[in-house]
Amino acid sequence: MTAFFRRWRFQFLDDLAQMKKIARDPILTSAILLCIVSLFLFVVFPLYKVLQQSFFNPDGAFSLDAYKLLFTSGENFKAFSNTVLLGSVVGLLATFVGFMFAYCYTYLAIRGKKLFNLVAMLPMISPPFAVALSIILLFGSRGFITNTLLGLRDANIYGFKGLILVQTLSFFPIAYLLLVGMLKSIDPAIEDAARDLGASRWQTFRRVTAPLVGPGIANSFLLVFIKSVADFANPMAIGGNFATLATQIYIQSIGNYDVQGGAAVAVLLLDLSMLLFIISKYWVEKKVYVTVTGKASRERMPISDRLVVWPVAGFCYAVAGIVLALYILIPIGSFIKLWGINYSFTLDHYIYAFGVGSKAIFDTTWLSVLATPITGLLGMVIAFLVVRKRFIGKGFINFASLLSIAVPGTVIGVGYILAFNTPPIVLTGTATLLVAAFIVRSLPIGIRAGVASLQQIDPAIDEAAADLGASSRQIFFKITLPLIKTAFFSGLIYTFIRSMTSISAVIFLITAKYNLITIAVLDQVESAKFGVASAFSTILILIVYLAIFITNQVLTRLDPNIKKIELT
Amino acid sequence: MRKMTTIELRNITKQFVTPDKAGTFKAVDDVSLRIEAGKFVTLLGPSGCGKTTILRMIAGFETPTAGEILVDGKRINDLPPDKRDSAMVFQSYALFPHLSVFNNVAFGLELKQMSAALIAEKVNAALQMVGLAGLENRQPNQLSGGQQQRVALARALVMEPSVLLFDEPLSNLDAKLRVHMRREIRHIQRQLGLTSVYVTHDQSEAMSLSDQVIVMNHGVIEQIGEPAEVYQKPASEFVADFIGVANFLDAEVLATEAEKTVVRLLDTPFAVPGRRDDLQPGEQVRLVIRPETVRLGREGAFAATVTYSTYMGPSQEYSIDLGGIRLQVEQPDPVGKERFAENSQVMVSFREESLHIVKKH
Ligand SMILES: Nc1ncnc2c1ncn2[C@@H]1O[C@H](COP(=O)(O)OP(=O)(O)O)[C@@H](O)[C@H]1O
Ligand SMILES: [Mg+2]
Repeated sequence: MTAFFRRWRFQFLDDLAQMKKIARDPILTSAILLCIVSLFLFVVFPLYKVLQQSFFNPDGAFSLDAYKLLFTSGENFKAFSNTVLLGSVVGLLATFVGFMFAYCYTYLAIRGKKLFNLVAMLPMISPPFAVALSIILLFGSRGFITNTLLGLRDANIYGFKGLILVQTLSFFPIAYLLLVGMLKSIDPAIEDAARDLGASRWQTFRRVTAPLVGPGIANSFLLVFIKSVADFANPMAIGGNFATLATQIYIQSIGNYDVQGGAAVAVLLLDLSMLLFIISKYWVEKKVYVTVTGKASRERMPISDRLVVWPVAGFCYAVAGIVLALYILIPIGSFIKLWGINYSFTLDHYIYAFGVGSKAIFDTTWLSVLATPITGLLGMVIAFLVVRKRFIGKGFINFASLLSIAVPGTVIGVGYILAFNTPPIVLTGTATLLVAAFIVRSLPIGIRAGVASLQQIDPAIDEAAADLGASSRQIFFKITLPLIKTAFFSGLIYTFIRSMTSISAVIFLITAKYNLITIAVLDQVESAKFGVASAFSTILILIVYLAIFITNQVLTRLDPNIKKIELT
Repeated sequence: MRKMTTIELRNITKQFVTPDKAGTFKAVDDVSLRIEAGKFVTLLGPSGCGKTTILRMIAGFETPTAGEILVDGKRINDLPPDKRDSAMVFQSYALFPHLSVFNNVAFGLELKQMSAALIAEKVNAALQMVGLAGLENRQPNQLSGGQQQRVALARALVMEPSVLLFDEPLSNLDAKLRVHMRREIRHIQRQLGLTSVYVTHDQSEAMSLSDQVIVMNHGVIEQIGEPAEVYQKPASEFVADFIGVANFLDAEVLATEAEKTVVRLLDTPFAVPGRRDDLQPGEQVRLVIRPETVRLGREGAFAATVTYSTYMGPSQEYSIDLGGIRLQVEQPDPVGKERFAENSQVMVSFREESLHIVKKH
């Protein structure tokens, strides 16, 4: 105990000594303060409000009524068990599909592997309803397959099964990207060694490959679970009567005007996400086996044995084909007069979208454009501070930015209502709040990318610059930023896309003053106007593509040798 | 029980697709060789010359494009690695990171469905042999590089293979440990009488370990011979240059006789011992002269100028200018001998039995 205390005291005094140095650098000090204040204001404070609200009744007295209601109200309990069930099933299915893709990509001698990356990228750059919308177009009551082809009268894709299908297809790329990285990092010599010691291909897979990726599989399950649990758009679009916690929060606080009840559900969702996130971060990731010797000796020899290739690759091609078809369906649907009834060509939906919907298109775009550079720069600054500097409050910055990865958008939404509706800070209905929500939703990924690329760069480079007389600000702008510019630009693109397509947090913050495309799509889907919904979605995808194109163009101008941004 | 196994490669060629995928190239080009039972043979050559590819064909990881691999006279081209009776020690060790030391070594035995008691006995014996007794329960990442190396060796040895294959197993160790481990490997190999094929680009490793050295370059064999033979009688300029340090001097064949070959070097005839049927009188050739065979002194056949002189501990090294030709000279054990300063004049002489003729290419 005393040893612990002594170590802690030493650390503290040492940090304090560092702080004295930092205090002499006003720009560094203000950067640190700015990060701490904004993370506190837009992440910690709203979450605290959610927690607080759920513990007090409307009169301001301490009360556990909201929690009692969770377990007495059949509705909320049902939403909780639905959410866990959905998360588990989708976690398993998406991990399975993702693993097949990853195995196919890293192990098999097949053509068209680029297709897998394309398919993995699509859900990231599309509006959140894209898959749900296509599935409804295919299998809904007026679906092309169910109604037009099969002549079924009352096919019902809404509910649990529809959600499973949609979420699995939307989230398996998360599993794929994670597992591909994992499989690639296995030194092929390890598997050669197993073969050399008499293991057949199957035995090698079962006894060596599978245990090595085991933690990755567990992690992928947890990450998909978190994603599924936090998902708001798909349950709204295709969930039907299958309520989840995320939709329940919305219905309680916006539909029933019961923000306190919404907050109680939000706490439950927050706890669930945090629990999964902590398991993933502190338990599963610790189990990942580091490659024992650093360098992989040689490239893996791809398997061309038909008994392996045909079933695995066949499965993956089929899934990839379905995903591609689903995405192609959206632009097609946007030109069709009345899906399921009248398949003639029309531009009406676009006329509507650019007419009535032009405000949504405009607002979404400029708010996203505003959020993008702020997030990009803030992310790199925080990454720089976290990796390169020592100061009191660094732990807080780390914690708050990790926290915002795990917090579902709906919880942030409720938190912002609670935090910014009443003095001292009233921001409800302002563009500032929307932009803040955009920033908080994208910042963690930007920070992570920045941290990862900074860790690759020898700190001696910074020290050399400081030695030659550069201040912290000069080091950041002249050394750090140019060295991690790919991460910086990917961060920009990511933020823009994420903002353009976000819905779960901002749907709580929207007023008559601003409108967003995603919310317009939701309105159209809910009133079964799939043509207009498709038109809006297509426009959204086009804007996103244009942004990627422009960024790449700018990048090539800046530096012809730079690696183009690919989102995968 | 000792397994006595011979390996034979007959006209083995291995083609790969070039990195730009535009065509193919031969990583191994029409190689034939025979490895006798119980012998320790090294494949030696510069990086990229095809050594590993040959080893991996013997292990079964690569299939030859043409030619045959025979083990004890039986063709094994199409046998997958798990059906072959060879065991490999990998350059990166390739230990299973999720298994303990014990389970790493036991892996292959478990696949053979041996009883637990027998496995434990064999694993412990193997770990004992490589000096790792007591570390059974460690995970691979809790071991030093040298210890990991030993686990990799034990894991191969415990299989009691008929052939042991090594792919630069010591290249990740520091210099001292490398020398120590190669003695140990040689010791264990002798003790078990295992046929072994060892790949390295380090000539001193090859010299100190092998019964036979196979020198390769660009996918073809340059020379096969005992260590002394490849050093003293290199078959080509490449071999002479790759193994140790060599001076090359132009000379002309004057006469070939039964016991000796007479050449003219620096306008002086030298009788190089040994019969050389491959040479013709009048042919221009190159003489290989190792630095330690050159004599420097007050007396000698030719006058030269010292351009560079440095004390190396075990020897004094010189660079001398012999009528415009630069020669590397090494005087072993310099203590008590006369040392020549830079820019001073010396007399140089060559011993005829230390001269070796290679063809000019
Ligand atoms: N699987 C492969 N595909 C394509 N080229 C290869 C492959 N394996 C080896 N090569 C190439 O074959 C040549 C010989 O390689 P290798 O046998 O590993 O050389 P060494 O072990 O002598 O350094 C090299 O040019 C290498 O790049
Ligand atoms: Mg090699």
